[in-house]
Amino acid sequence: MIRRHTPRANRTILVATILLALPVLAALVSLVWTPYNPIPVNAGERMLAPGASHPLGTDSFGRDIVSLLMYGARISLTVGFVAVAIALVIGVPVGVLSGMRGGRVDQVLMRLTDVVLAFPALLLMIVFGAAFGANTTSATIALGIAAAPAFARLSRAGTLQVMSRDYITAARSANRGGLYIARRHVLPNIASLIVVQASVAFSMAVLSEAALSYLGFGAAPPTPSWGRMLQEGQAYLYNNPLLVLWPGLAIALTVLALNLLGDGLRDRCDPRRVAQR
Amino acid sequence: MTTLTPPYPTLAIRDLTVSADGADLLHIDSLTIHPGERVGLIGESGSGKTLTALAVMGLLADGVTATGSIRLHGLPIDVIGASERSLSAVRGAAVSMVFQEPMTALNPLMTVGAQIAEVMRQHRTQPSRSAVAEATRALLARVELPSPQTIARSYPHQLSGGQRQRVVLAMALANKPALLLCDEPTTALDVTVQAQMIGLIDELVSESATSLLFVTHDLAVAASLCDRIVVLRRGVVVEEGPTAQVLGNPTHPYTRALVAASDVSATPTTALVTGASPFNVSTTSASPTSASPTTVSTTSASPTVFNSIAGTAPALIEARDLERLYPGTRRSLFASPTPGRGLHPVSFDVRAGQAVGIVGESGSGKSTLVRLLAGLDQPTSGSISIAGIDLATATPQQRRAVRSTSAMVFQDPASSLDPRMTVAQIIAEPLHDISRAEAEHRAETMLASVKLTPDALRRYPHQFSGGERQRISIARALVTSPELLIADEPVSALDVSVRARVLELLDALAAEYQLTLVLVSHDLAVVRRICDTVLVMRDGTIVESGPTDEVYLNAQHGYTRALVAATPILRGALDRAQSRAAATS
Repeated sequence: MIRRHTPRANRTILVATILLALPVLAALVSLVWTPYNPIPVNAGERMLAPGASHPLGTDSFGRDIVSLLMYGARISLTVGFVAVAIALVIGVPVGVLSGMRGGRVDQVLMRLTDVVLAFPALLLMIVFGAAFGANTTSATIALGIAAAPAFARLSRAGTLQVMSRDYITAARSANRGGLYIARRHVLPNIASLIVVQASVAFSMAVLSEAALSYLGFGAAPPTPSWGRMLQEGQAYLYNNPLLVLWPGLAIALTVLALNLLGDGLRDRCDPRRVAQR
Repeated sequence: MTTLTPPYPTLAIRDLTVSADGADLLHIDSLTIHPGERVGLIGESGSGKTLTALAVMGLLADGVTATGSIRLHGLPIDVIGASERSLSAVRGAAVSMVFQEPMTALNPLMTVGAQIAEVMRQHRTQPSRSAVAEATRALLARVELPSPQTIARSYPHQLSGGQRQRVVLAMALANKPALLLCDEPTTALDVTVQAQMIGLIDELVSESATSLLFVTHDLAVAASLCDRIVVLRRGVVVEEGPTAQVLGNPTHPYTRALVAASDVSATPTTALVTGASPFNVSTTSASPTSASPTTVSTTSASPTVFNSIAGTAPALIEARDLERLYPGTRRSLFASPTPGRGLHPVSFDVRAGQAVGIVGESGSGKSTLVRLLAGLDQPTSGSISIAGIDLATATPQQRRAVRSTSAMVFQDPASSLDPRMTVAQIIAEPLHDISRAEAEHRAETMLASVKLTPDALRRYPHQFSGGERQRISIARALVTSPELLIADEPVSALDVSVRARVLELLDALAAEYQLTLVLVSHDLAVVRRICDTVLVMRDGTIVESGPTDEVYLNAQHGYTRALVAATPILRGALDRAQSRAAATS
């Protein structure tokens, strides 16, 4: 029963890593090399079908889709990772503090969280875009802030559960302070919850960046991102559906890889699911 | 649907094997229950008791497969391999089940009346809506709930644990089942409530001639209810036969060991089992406690005011008019809070080296008292001083000092150890400012004194059994060499065979470390086994106190007497079983 999980968790992690390595490698390679320059318009080669010179074809501006995808991975992945990092750094401490302290502190922090949560995420990003300029940096920060409440609530729920355990009472009666308890007992026990949430939040960030770019608030044209590619392809949906298929696939595969990774890590870092001895 | 009629058995299991992941979890060659017969299925955790009940209901989890044959009265086909559709026709009708935890067996959002009615509507056993309502009220009256009208309109959370279990029983009996399956139905209940519940099941089952399959780990409960006993061990039937024979005169060494272990209060001088026992216990010998026999002043007439346990040694704990009130919960924003439960003024002394047992049922204030003693909570009024430090006026530093002189052992071995920490880390946790090597060394020493091997250090809690975890918990408590050990129901979550050994260990360690022991339990037998003094609590007050044997054998307070009488004792239950068998034959 216990052993059964281990190879499965490892296999999940392996598959997820391979899937995730594709966009990460593509993004890294795009720093030094892309098949074509993904920025300038090339009117002569508009909307070419996939072929020998352009394996996935070209877009409505005559740019090579492979090059666009590689360059776009850079933007999309950066936005995802940074946004999740911001959400984690804000959300988890708020949630853990709330859950451990309870009472007034809990109420104040959670009401604040609710306010942020109630504010439509897309609106927040648009406000940020309007205030600080429609670029990836402001979009990323807005995404991070919008994702933080979910981490706060999740961490709080997990913390409450951990705090009701007898080993917390044991630690307190052994004169262990709040920081020690948070570090040694609470965080390790809620880590699996947070890992899964992080993978979900990353997917959301990639998708939201796409939506923002689509609305014109993410990556500023002509900088390509997966979201921007979707937006530009949308106008030709009926004539040339391949234009939205490629960025769509890239997003779907990355999100899938991250969700798998989240699941695998959750199983992996739980000693109850790891092989004995 | 063809209905089997007597002399056909109610339940016939043949050659049943339940397996998961290629491993056999349970094998029963043959088990037959005739109409009106009551069979007790006993065994320890992991023995396959519950699995048997689930197999009979066709409720095995995904990935768990059964082979063989299970025939039920009222079901023309075999349970194994039967479609969900045909199974749901008999579940709750011809066969029904009572679970261990009544709170989770009931839907919190439905009135209990509606839940009972649903069972009857589901199987269309009543002709009309009004007949269903009438039958619901009749059922609630049958399970002896007061004012069935009101109860039917109540939600589960408005009822007590005992009342909830009665409701579950009413649901189970609603369609007059031929077979009633009970899976530890009284384990989650208080002792006095358990006694009533067993009486009720006894009465209702004989009234309606329902067959009973009663799953329990408690031999005394099984003996008081069942005609026949089946003993399961690691998925295999080791012994079966009439109750009086199996439990009164067991032939299999495992049953013998179970019977011996189930009387915890017995003095351990009579070695439970010999070297080659199924429990692998070394011969036990009486361990003399350091606590000298205590002289106890007669309890004062008004027990809530003052209960003095006089003596010569200095008092380690002095409680005077100790009171802890909790602000009640508000039902709504505008309602005034209802007065909550807590601890009403109590006074007592515990001298150094004493072993004091605190006995009481849920809501008696035991846990509140424990939190106060451990320095985790402050009294509302009155004073409690531990080792000369008054907790009410103590500075944070002093409170820390109090905490470091005391340590706790908890009830639930699953929740008392952090699943993410190794045993070495867990045991060394109370040690501050100490090098890793030194911590490890101390942990190893402690492991040895709780009779665990050093290879446990690197392992995680889930790799240990309940009894072993409780030993780890004890090791952690004693690693700082505290003066006071507070054990909150330390054995109530453990199997009977393990119980006696953990208690023995506690007793021996109390002597070795010269501990003052405060042991909280709902079970008088446990307290009697290792405590020299007992406090009986009820509704936040101390109703009786004194030397354990005196209180046990010659209880003054009515509640204590009720508690003693309600505690199931195997010997008494067996005698009754014998006379019952004699009367019927």
